[in-house]
Amino acid sequence: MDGAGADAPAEELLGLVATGDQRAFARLYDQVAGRVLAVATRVLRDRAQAEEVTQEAFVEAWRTAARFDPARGSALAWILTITHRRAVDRVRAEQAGTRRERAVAAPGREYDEVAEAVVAVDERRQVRRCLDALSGVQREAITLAYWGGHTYREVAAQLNLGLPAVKSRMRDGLLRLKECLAVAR
Amino acid sequence: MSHELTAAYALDAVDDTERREMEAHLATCTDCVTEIAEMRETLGLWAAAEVEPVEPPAYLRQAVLARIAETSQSAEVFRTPLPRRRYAYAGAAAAAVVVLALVGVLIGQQVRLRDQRTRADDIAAVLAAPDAQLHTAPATGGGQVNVVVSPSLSRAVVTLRDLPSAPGKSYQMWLVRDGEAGSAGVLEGTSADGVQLIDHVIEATDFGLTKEPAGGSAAPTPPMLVDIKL
Repeated sequence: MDGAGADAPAEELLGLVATGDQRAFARLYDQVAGRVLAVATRVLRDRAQAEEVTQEAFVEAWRTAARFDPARGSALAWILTITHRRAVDRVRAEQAGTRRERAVAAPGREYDEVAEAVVAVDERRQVRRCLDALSGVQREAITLAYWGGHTYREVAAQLNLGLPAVKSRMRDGLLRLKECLAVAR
Repeated sequence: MSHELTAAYALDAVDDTERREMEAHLATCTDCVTEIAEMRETLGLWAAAEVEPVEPPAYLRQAVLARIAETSQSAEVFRTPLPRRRYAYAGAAAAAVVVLALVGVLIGQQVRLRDQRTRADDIAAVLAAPDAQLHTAPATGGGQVNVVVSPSLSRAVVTLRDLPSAPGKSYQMWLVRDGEAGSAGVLEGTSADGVQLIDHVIEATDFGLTKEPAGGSAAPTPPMLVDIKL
């Protein structure tokens, strides 16, 4: 018998994955792979590399599922954390290898098109509104770091800020984003 | 000094040395662990809403499932450092629960909207899948049921034609796994014509269709109008 229904929450599935349940893993994959691949693609701007990172992230999630603590957060955010870190590691390795200057965090055209197609979606707009609640510098600092894969030192240089300033913009921005998203509920 | 770097660390915006320093620091700093967990939860929610989910190719699913099947798991369990101040920890935990609930709601909404938008694409993907198999059978009482299954996508497209309308009743689809039937969806209205997309078909042995009291049932009411071996 299956340990969980087809629509079981991702947290429950991840708990089963920690016991070696491959079926639960397949279901978890089906629930979140679309967003994992999307986040990796947006950071890496390269579909083939994003698929590799997606694969690495899911294997890491399988390997370390016992470390997931549901009291600390959602399974999706946990997997996206793994994904983002691996994607950023690749960006850095690529930069070190080629010294190629990456485009800044402005999304590529395909994402703009997709974003336009869903602009009417209310909850997405709510998240955007929360982003708008940040100051311009807070927003830029978070976006450059998260989607651009830049270190805070690089972000400081791009925004002409000192290191303490950029650290506090990131921190204040994230805290404000958290509060706005909680209030939006 | 590590306290100032929590946000940059949560954003993966620190270098390798700083990352190691922060991770060493986290072993003793409950507040930092909580703050970073909340930041990552926030970032996960934000990032998930910022991107449009991408339909992963079937070969990626196969590759991932094949790799985990031969990858052993780490027994290391996440250990929360003991809180130095219990009241602070309790407040942070409560905040984490609020964020967690919000994430669940937003993600649920996003998934529903995405389902509507991409249903047509999903159906096309099943029909075009290299491993798609067609099963067809007449239904007891009239009508025709076709099921196209793609094991690699773990999805099926069901087409129902010319089934008699059933006033006051609903048609309900079932998937049988390990000898037990689970609902695969209740059709709207009293007729059963149209196209249905079913998820999580993997490991199902049979597809069934029954007439149920309006709104559907928890278990199938005999007789099965059709029983297709998958």
